[in-house]
Amino acid sequence: MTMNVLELDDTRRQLRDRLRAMPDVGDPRAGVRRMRALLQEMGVQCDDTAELEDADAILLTSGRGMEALIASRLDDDQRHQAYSRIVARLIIGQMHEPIDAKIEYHSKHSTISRQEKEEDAAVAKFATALAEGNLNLAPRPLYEDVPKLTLAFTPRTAALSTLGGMHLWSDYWYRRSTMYRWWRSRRDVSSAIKRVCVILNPRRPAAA
Amino acid sequence: MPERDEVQIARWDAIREQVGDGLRQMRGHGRSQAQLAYEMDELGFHVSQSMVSRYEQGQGEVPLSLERMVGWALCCDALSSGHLREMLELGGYSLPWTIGDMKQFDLLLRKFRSMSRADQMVLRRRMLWHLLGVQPRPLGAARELAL
Repeated sequence: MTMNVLELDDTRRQLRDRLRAMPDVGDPRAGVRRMRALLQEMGVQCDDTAELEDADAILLTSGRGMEALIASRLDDDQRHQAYSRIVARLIIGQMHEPIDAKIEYHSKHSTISRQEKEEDAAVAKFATALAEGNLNLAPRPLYEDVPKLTLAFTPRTAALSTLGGMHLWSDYWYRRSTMYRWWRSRRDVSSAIKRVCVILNPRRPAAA
Repeated sequence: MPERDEVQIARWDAIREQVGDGLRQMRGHGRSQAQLAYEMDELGFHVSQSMVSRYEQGQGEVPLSLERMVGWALCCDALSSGHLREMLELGGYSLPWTIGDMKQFDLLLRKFRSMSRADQMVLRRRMLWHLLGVQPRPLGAARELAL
């Protein structure tokens, strides 16, 4: 029995689509309800009553399905953050077949590999943007379809291809560089990138 | 003791020593019978230290269920071991996982060994569900049912 990769990709794609339409919430309790409903709609079984001592949440995936276990000791704010991390993990994280588990902690925690450390840091940053309802503080490829980098020759397609290259570059460094994540989550940087995107793709203004 | 068929008793009598040998091998030297009994109890199995001892000596009277075999292997990080495969074959059980899959389960168990005991138990209980396809009940509710 193996986890269906296509199914996970589909979940990821649907999550990205739904995140864009998700209203900005001030109340963490409402945020928890929305995130939970979103995950359950994607087929992720959620359990808020896990007796976790140190970890805030666990995401478990296998051929039997996907489960999100959230620690019962968390308050509304922490639970909202934990759910955001689960959503961010599903979008950014690499889940291995046939079974994989990701453990979410509220603070930095020892990880085995450099790759896991980078993934954890990217997930934490993206989760913060999700919880605050500020998706534009993260690279757009994480939550939207963007132009692709292609070999283009006409002035129009060359601009789109350049934009695609920028998106690719942004996504790559967001996953790997602490400095870039810090830089990319600044509002002035986000606004500047948005202006560049408008210049390159005036029909569909987008942030990088 | 619940009533059992003579055929079932005869079959269990024929294999229980081999099963006991496999159980002992899976536990290995690094884990005591008491520790194993405690961990299995935490997972929701009602197995005492004396039962662990009896089963390992091939003296267990009740046939070992699929759930207990898998739980035993899970607690011993021995899901991918040949002993579990042999025991499952002897018992006429099968799981929908390949050897490679079981290795991944063991790898995951080892990877998260640095987690706190309570967190590990939560993860193991859920992994047991993923292995067997059985939805876990809250531990308290399961204990009440057993009483």
